[in-house]
Amino acid sequence: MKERIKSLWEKNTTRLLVDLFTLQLRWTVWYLAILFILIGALRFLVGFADERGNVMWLVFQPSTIYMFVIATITGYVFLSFYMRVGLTRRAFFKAMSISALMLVAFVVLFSVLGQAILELVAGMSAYEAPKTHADFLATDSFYVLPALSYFAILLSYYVAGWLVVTGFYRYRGYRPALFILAGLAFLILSSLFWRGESFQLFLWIGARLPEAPLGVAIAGTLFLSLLGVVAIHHFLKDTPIRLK
Amino acid sequence: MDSLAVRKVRLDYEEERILDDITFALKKGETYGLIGKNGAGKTSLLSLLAAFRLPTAGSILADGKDPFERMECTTDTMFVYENDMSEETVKVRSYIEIFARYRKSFDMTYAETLAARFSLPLDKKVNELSKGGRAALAIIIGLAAKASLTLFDEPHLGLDAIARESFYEELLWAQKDHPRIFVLATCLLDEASHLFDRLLILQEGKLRFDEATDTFLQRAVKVTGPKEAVLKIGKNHEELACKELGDTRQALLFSHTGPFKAKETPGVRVERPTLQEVFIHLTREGSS
Repeated sequence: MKERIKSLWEKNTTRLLVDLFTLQLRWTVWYLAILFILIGALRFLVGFADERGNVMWLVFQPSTIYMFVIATITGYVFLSFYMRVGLTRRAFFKAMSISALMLVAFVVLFSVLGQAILELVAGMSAYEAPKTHADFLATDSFYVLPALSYFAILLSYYVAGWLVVTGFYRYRGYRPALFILAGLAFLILSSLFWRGESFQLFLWIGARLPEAPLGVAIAGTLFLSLLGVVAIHHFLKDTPIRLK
Repeated sequence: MDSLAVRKVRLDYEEERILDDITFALKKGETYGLIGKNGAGKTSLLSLLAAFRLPTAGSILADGKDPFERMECTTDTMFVYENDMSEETVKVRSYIEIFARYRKSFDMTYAETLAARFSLPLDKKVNELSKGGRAALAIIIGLAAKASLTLFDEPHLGLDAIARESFYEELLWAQKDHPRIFVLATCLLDEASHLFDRLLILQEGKLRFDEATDTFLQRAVKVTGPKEAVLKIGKNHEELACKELGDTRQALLFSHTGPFKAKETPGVRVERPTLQEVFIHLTREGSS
């Protein structure tokens, strides 16, 4: 009996993970396609300079907002739906957490692949592929450490979005506003690990950041995301399900 | 799941008490009518039964175990309520298949049969369905899920009279074919009263009656005749409503002690009122 229940839980949680990832992946593919068309159009039509950044950085910048938004939509809309389907909050939490990791990894790997293809094309032609990384990345590593950094930061934006929407889902009145503040505080805290004047929150809130080694910055950001996820779990584990 | 026991349940929201001291039991094979005025707490109670929220106090046990966050219970519970579906761009068949994928007892063939009965096109997008179509879709999923605990919260809003009749017939058939616990919250009492084995009547967050439908209806009589005679019959019973025209008086009488036994009196007509009549007058302001 216990094994049957365990197997049901595992099967349904895996199904949910596949569903949530596939759904977000579909949106993300559209988002990346539009982003690439926009970057291409800007580059060729209005002379958007290559110095503005390489593919990884160009994908990273708008993806911070994208991750925040996709987390809020998924966290709000699909919890009620999948509870109606017959799942539990715990299964939703687990599937959403893993799908976030997979989604962020997909975006970063996609940008790495884009850069690599551009380098390959550049190697076979006179074209010089853009090399510039974000100012806050002081490293000789071109792919691995920047990719890990982008991964950690994008994940923190996803967690921030999910944290905010968890508050909106659970509470009414003034309390959801506190979760917006908590989300902002969370992002500002994680940004403190990254140095360089150009690092900005949501592209418009600037922050002057102290210096920290890249490894510490990555580990610190990931640790903060873990704390964020623990907080989400706390508010999600017995949240009343909204009937919508 | 064969039974569900609700014991001393209370639900508060902010400063407001939504449900108070609710105790009852549900058992497999019975259809329960959950009735109450708007704001009486019907949806909140159904949310608790579906493990959509935790009670502030008290307990809910499914076969002796807390169903909250137990997937073997949540996949065996179906809560059907009115929901918007305006953002559902998938086709009806795909939408139903999502439920079928997660629920072991889901009967896709039966869902297709029901779709044909409710004239619901499976290849149409969900958000393109009419209000009635969406209501039918929710009902189809609710019935085809074959969940041990099936909760319907006003499922027929938007359905026309023919579709509602089909729903009632299917509900009766479903209970016979695959016995389960059905709880139906509805305001269409006259239409649906024949479905209910038992009644759960909520008033201002409290469970006022938990009784077999027949026994409950036997408590009430509608008496029409000479004023004196009607008043005499109504003595020691609650008069829920009355009308007078000259010396003729019509009274809706309710016994709080058991079945109403009215003695035959010449010139006095005694009838059984409908559930709706009893409910309206029993739960109106000032009635206790």
